[in-house]
Amino acid sequence: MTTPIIEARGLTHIYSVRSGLIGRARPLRALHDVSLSIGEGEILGVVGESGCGKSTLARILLGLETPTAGEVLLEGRPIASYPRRERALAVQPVFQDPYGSLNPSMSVEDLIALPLHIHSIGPKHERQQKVARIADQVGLPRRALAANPSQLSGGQRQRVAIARALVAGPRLVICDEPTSALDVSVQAQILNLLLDLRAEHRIAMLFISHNLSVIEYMTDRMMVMYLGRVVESGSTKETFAAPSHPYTAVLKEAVFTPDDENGVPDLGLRGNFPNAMDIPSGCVFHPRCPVARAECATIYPTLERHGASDHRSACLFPLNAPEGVRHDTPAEASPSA
Amino acid sequence: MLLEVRDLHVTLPDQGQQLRAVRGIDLEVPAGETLCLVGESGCGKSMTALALMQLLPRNAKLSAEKIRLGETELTKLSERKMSALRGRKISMIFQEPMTALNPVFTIGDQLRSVYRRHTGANKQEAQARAIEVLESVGLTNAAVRLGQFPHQLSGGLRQRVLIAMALMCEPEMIICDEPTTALDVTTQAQILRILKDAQDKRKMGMIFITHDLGVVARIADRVAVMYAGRIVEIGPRAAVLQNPAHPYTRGLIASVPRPKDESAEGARLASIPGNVPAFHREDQRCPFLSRCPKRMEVCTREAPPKRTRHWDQHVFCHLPLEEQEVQPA
Repeated sequence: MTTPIIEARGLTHIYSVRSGLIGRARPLRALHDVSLSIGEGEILGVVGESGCGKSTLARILLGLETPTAGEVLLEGRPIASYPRRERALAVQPVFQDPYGSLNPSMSVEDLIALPLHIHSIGPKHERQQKVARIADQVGLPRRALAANPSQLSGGQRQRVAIARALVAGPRLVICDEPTSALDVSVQAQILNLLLDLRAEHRIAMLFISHNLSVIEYMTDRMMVMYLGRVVESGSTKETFAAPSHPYTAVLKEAVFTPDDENGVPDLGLRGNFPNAMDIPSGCVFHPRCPVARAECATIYPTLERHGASDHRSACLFPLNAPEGVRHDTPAEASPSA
Repeated sequence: MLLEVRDLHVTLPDQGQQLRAVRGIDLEVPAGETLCLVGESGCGKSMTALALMQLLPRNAKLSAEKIRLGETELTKLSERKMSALRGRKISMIFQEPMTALNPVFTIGDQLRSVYRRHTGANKQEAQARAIEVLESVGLTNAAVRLGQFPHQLSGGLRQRVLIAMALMCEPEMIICDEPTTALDVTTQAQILRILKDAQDKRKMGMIFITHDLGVVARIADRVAVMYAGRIVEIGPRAAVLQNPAHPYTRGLIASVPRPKDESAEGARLASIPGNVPAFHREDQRCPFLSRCPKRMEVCTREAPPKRTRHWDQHVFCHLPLEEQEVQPA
């Protein structure tokens, strides 16, 4: 088996949060035991709501944050052992906000060429050629190269951000909500572009979104996160066809498409939105779960495989489980947060 | 008709020119019905909402043949009379609950003051009403929440407080400008249910502004599709969503991501090339002209005619109706 482009093993990240000036610092467990791997040309989706840890995960994979526990291997080597520049050459981000991530005083051409400049790739005329080529690929008109970011539309700015991420030939691109700030017709252009670039350059991608429809359209495999834990993972097709974790089922029901006119569903969620400072015992989803039973409050479910494929979920009573599949030996009690 | 709008125009100064943000739209909302205004950024949907509330920025110019709410013609009202109606007969819920709430007053102060200003109730009556309304929008511990400040609440709770504030005086009409766009999907579903419940109980008319066609499918009775300051198509929800007539409506619906079709591996999401134009000069031609895949010679010369399908789906387009039928792919 070939080495994945990126592999993360048992990532746990704890922030220390102080409330007020004299408050005691308290731990906030943003990620708990998250593992993943992404192969060449593969797109892994991460879906979850605010506070689920998806952005912390992105920051760790970018090397911007060192996890409290666990390790990240980039092409088989620990990411911590990479010099900063080499790491930046291999892993590039595309963020949600194309307004905030582009220096407003630089021209588009300089912005896109910056990674080439920083990594001292090629002589000047070669850089210019590279910039022109990538600008064509992302669909930026040549005249936009001389413009400032403020003169571009939101969709064009996101194209600039994508061109800049790709110009130096990264192995992995981390897209954190890349289309959330865009209109739907523009979002469609950007999603198509990312799929084309993946096909052409065989780039691996981590694609973070709160929008399950976008995840379904874009990704090969997906992970569902809740309060820093992966509650379900598997091939996108299988996960959608038969969600195993009740939270995934709730998310799926909360996604509205133009074809479904059945009114607003009652998701059956109980309680209020969870607090990451106060993580529940047992299954972290149990206080809100529509189908929780008494055991769920005490027993911490680990991510287990159900059936033959690599579809896993962390639930004591998984939905759509093949006959006879159940956790007979429930895992150890919840680690205290 | 609860709300009737005829020939509404809004212009805004824009770098020495006049930006025509809303260019002659007509709307009608009967009691108990939801009209969804959909469109992309810059289409004029928020300006339409602000115009109906008479809350446009000071430098904006509004003109309309008619904005009638119940028996009252709003265009002729003084600011004093309008402010007596606002919050009482017609309320608005904004997208960003943090900026719409005053950070230095408690939730209770803000809810009570709306009620007392419009009804002259005393503090105890206002307190009781605030608790009742907060509970009706699904807030637990309402009495405790009233003593809290906006920053102590999550986004979903803040949005419920804003809904409660809009409902304090039982308005006849409510205008919601993307009230769930900044929220998580599960919270969005809860908020939409609360809004629809409140509407059903009081038979309120609702204008709901959104760019999300999935939300439209779940809550709208009628849908108006806006583009560059104009309504290009308006009709019953099912007609507009399942059998859209205008090329823009069709493009918009087709660009919503759906699962990839098994049979068409590598199939691409439909997208509309180009961007929404801004109009500074009067132009009667179709606003979608520059991006339309069905553009004809006549479109570049003449204003699009209003065509009507099945008596209440109206579309402003030169295409003959038979060509507007959905064709199998």
